[in-house]
Amino acid sequence: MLKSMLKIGKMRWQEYNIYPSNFYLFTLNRIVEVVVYIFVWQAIYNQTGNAGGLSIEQMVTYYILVATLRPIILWGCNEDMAYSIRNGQIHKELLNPISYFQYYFGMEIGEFAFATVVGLATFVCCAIFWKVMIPASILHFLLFIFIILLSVPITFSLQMIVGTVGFYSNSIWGMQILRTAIISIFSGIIAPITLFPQWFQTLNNFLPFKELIYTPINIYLGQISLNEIGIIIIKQIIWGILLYMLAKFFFNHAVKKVTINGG
Amino acid sequence: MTNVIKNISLYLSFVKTSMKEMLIYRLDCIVGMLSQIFTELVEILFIWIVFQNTETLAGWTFEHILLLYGITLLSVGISDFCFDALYDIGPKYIRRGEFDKILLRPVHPLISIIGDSKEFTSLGYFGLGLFLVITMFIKLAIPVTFGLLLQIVFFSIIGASIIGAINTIFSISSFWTYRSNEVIWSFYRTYTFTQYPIDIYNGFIKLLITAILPFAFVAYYPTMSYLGMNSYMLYLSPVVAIVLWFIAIKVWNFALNKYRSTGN
Amino acid sequence: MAIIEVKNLVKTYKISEKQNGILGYIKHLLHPKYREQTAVNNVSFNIEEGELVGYIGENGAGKSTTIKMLTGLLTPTSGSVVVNGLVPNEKRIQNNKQIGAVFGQKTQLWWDLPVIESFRLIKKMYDIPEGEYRKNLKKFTEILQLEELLDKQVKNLSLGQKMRCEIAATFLHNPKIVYLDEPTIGLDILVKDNIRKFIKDINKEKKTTVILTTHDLKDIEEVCDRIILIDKGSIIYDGEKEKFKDIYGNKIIAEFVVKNKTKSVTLETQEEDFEVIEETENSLKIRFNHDKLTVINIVDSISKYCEILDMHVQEQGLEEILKEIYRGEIIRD
Repeated sequence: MLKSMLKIGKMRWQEYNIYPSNFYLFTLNRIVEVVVYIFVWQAIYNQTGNAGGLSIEQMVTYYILVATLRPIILWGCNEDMAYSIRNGQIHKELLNPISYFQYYFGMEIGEFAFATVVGLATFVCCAIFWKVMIPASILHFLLFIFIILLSVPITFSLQMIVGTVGFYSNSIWGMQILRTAIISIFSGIIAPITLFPQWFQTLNNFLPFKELIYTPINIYLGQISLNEIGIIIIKQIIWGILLYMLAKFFFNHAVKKVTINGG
Repeated sequence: MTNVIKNISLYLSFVKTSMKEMLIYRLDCIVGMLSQIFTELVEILFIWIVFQNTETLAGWTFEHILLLYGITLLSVGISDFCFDALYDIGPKYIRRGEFDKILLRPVHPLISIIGDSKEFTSLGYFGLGLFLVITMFIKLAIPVTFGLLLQIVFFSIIGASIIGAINTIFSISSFWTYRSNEVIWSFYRTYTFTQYPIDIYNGFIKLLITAILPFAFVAYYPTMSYLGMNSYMLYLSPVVAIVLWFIAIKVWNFALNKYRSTGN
Repeated sequence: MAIIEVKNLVKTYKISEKQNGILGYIKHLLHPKYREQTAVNNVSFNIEEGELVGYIGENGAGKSTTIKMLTGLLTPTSGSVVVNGLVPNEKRIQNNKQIGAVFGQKTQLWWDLPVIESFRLIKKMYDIPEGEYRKNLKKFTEILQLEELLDKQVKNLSLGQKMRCEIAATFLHNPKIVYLDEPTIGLDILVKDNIRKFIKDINKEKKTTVILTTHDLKDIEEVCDRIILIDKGSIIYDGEKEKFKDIYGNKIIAEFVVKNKTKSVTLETQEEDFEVIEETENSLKIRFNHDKLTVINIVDSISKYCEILDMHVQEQGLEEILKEIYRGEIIRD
């Protein structure tokens, strides 16, 4: 089963690499996405000597790490899933000897691998143009990686939830953009969470998104104590399980609908 | 001249058929529109957060930036509506073999393709842009004279055609890769740079958005003029548009001939 | 024990009756109206291991619905399906391991990758032992002529090439049961022959049970031993293919042009083993069973009453028989 999933992941990776241009274009896009943010903060820093309470190096590093993590957090196979539902391909996928979730988790592994490579390339390119801070310590760096790995079940479950909408609607495009927008706001992609109003920060504490971008970057920068990191890890595991169960429940419900009343 | 009129009327008839098709997807369209507005609101949220930390950005206030944002969205809305099908040349027309059908039509293929555009969701951009422009003019207490109104309409259309020309140039990548939409998109995205005062950028990016991919002529220079920031650069916009279209058509025809002679 | 047991299987769909316009749409949201439509009505049959069964019927007769219930993709409204001891819609994954399926043009092959990659994935997913995988791959490559296709991207294959690969993929894990839904649709004759030969070979060698639905009755004629005929959701014939022809067909229709007819042939030959379908002053149309009589017999019989000028003989094939059944011209004895 694990072998099948790894094989699926590898195939997904191969699919991406059939067109070498993909890699360059995706990396270029990631850089373009972040350029504006960095220049805006630099301008503010030059005016006021302060960039939202952070030093300019911290702010620049923050956004470069956002560009690095963004594909890892946002990419996935929910559109493939919706497509398979729409054109009936799902019938074949439901006849696989591994479960539908395992099949798509395999794809997610491939996505994750490719997104990581694009993220790293983005990081390297950005590091040429701007000064990037190194991690606070090796331990902080390892914890940074660990927290990112822990976010995989969360992002995968979100992918599956959006993909499952394909059973009910012809186009998941709207849901897809909504998912991206929600993650962008709540995870800290557009700006560090501390720059948001207090009520928003309070609300955000009850949601799982902050741990996808904002928290790992702050661990990287050494802004979070080890005790806090322990709590964050527990919180993330609980969110992963909850969201996975929700995704599974939603999917099973949708499949039941299809198996009872045809495709 | 008659040739141009004939082409324009052909174009309009294509648009009419596309519109009918599109109405079928009404619901999807509304969802798409709302979600695009939502995405833009996320960007505006960023601007808002920025202005929590400063009064001005390179001399521009929050309202100034939102006006620039709105003016940009007007052009983006129009150009997405009119030129959306350029994205489809690779993944849809050429991959599915529909391109050969288009080559058989008695019109220039570029007109056929652009006429197939029907991105109604872009009305979301346009609507949001309009909303921002109106509220910001009121907030900034700028008197909207008939002349200004005329300027806005004129330069928004010119801006849209600049974007369209740039996208047309990069759409030639369709003749080599099915994934041309991503190529176009990569370059198109740099228009977002011009939603902020260009003084914040370094020399390279300034050069990029004024000379290489001259998106600054879409909304930035016109908005400066609307705000009374003494910019005469906007009068160059129509020239830029004409030059870009001249290049676009030449490049496109060249690529098309190459495609025709070698196949894909 | 039968490998597939189907008992009193019923599938009823709820079809929502949508009204036109926005008002109708809102009405429907508040007060959804449903109409019930029975796609499969009380169907029962058993299939033994190694059988080659043709499951035929018109469009909308309930073929696909039955197949979907057999594979576990649809839940029966009532009745039961047991496939090799498993209830497919309850134990879908377990059942999936023992079956293979081809659904028309839908493919399990990865579009952008070389065919062989999809095969390797299948090997991993079904846990096919290395030796078995190699043996099957070699054999399938030979029969289906896949040699040059394996390293090509799926998107670059023609329809026939794709289907050959798809068939190979379906049989790779030695499934006990294979469902083939329209495997030859849109293919040219050579590919069709190739696929039919393959199915027969594998069935002979591995005792694979095959259930085949198709519009091309040549598939059935050449591959299947048994026919299950479904019409409007009910089975109207289930038995050997040859017997099917006996009952409904294997009949010959002979048309004669005659003159100087002295008596009514219909009346005079009432006792005989053939049937006069049509009689006019100078023509006769006679149907007879080819197993019992020959054209010479008929000529002998009728020449007593008239002079034969010309004749035209035609055999009733499976296709014609089915057409007549669908038109309601043949009613089972």
